[in-house]
Amino acid sequence: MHAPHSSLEDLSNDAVENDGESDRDLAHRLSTGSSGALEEVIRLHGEHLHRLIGNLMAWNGEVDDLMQELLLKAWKNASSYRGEAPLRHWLTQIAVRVCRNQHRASRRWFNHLIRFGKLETAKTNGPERTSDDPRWDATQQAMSRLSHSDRELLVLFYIEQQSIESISAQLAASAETMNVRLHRARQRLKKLLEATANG
Amino acid sequence: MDDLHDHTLVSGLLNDWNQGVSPPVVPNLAERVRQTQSVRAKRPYHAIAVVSMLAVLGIVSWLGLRSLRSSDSSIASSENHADIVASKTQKGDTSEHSESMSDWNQEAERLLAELKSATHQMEAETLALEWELKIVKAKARLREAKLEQIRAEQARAWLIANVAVLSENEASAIRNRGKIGQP
Repeated sequence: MHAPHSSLEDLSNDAVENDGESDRDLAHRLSTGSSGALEEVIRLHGEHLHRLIGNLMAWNGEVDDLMQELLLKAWKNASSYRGEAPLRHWLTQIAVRVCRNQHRASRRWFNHLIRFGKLETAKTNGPERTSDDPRWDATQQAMSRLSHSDRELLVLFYIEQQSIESISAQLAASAETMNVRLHRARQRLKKLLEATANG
Repeated sequence: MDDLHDHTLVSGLLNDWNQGVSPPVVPNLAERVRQTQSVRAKRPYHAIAVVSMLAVLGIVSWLGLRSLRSSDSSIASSENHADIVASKTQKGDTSEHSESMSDWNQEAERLLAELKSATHQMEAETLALEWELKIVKAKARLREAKLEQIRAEQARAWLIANVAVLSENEASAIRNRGKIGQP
């Protein structure tokens, strides 16, 4: 089992595959504010990160703002990247943290606004649909209604294709615990899908 | 078996869900990130400005409250002064109390000066009386001395007179004795 991460530097130790010198060089150029480095990060990883953030937030909320926040954090912490893991993995970890922080913050604000009766429903930014499959809407609705921790686990495991060991290391829990949580998240998603299908 | 079925079902659904959307293209994302970074770098100055404005507002509010309290005290000036001063002092407003204390201090100083003056006068009178008494005593002693002198002169005169009488008597006796012894 992996030890829990204590900082962003540790995240780079989970080397599964390494793009090598180019990732280190890009991170170094990013940390020094070199011209074009940020554009290259966006070109190479922008779409994946944007999609990841959208999935983690179930396409609710300001996904664009979170993308900006992610890039800002990556820029600020680029000097801590040691190149022992692919830059894509390192950026994925930052995206997970940014979304988790945003979820906590928005929950606090949402509760305050609900209390004062100034907001009835949260603003939803719908993604650009490329499929007309009606099952997509049901899945979208079910994922939106799942808890953030369940959704995070399902996205990392099924969409990001991360291993249980890698996820448990990120979330500072044992692999057994993660397996149980993944099973429960699946069950809850299934129930939500059934509830949606039944009207 | 059910779990495996769920796993397959969820995997397929989530992959379809992921593939069914296309992330929107954000124009000038890098430039927006740079601008945001630039704005955040200036945040401490904004914070200082906000804190300064709050401090100024606080001072203005405090001054306003203070002026309100002053006007209240001037409105109530027609009432019993000592009661107002005592009441305001209890409430923590010592401004009028300080003014009264100043007046009272001046009055006390004036009275003290008068008292000192009176004390000096009394001391001078006492001293004069003491000297007068001494003079009287001296006069009395002088009078006694004169009387003593008069008595001494009288005694001396008496003695002189008696001595003269005795001398005459002695001479007469001598003369008589001689006459008696003659045949």
